[in-house]
Amino acid sequence: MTLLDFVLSLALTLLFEGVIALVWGLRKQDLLLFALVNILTNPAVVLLHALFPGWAVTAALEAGVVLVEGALYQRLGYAVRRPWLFSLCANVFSFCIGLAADLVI
Amino acid sequence: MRRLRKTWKLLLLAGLLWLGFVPARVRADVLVEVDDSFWRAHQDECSYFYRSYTVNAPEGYAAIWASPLSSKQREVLTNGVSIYSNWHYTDDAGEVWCAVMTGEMNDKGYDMIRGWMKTSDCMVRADYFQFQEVYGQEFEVYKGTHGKALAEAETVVLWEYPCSGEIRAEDIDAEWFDNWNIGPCWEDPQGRMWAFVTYCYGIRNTWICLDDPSNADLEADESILPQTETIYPAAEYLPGAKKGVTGLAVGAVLGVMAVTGLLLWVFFVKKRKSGGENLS
Repeated sequence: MTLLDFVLSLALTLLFEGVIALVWGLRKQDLLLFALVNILTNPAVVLLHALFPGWAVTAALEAGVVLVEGALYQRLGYAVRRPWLFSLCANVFSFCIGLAADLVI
Repeated sequence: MRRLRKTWKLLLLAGLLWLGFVPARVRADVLVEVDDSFWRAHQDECSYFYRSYTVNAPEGYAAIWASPLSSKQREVLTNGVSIYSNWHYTDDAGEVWCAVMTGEMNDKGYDMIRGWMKTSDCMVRADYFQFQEVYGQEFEVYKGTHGKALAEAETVVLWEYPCSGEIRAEDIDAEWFDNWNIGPCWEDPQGRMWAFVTYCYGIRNTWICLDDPSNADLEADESILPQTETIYPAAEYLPGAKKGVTGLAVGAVLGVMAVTGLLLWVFFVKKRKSGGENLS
């Protein structure tokens, strides 16, 4: 894997989940929190997926991401409504986008 | 005089324009380039010869790699899958790699490949090359005693090797062989004489049966090139292709996580604690 793979994945995640964040009503400090949380989790998930390819591992990683991000939003967020649901929706959305892109490309 | 010079100039210009529209690559009977960065960088080290293989690794599967120097896998194939290659590369450790062809060309007319596979993970399928390795010392010069059937034939069948049962092409116009100098010959156990055909209508390295050139039903004799390699069973579970992760990548990710964790602590934990907020 190259640096570009990680950067591209993170950029697309921030883009697609960022749309959900804005729609969800995240503003100011919570948007910064959103960005930092994804920078924390996304490269790690991409790395682990590359090391351990397979659907079972992917499912486990995505579930773990939802839990970690949800916990961080709940604990550190200023005004994140329903942090766990937000984490779930944002990650499901970006995962589906990624899946659709893999099928098309 | 001026008009003559102008005419020559126009003719020269027309000639240059015509050359510009002539296809840059003549495809017939030349080596086709490969659409692969490793091949382009190591073209001089790659050998051009066709071989077909069956995947046969002890693990039950084998990987197709991005290149012989890469840690990135593109695909994983189970034992028993057939592949073929036109290009081979030997790395510094002596491992022979084959470029796994897709059979397709890109828009520029370059051969497309799926990646590179170690030939040690494959079993070479019996072909003309292996036949030559085994029986080459029995080849003889044509003595003119078996040409009648060929002279009377209208079409010819081209075989992978004598008694292979594997047809490379059939219904080949026998006119091709009208002025043909018959090359190395070999007599099979049934007394039929075969001749090696270096090239015929774009098809390279085949054999014809001089005594029965049109017959496409010549049965295979597996004793000619018996299978001697151990055949490994196919794996029940096929792992995904490893995408090649370096230590540097791992270190970089851990570094990013550490820095991000620190930023989270600074902006969302420490700051709020110093502001007197309770984090719940």
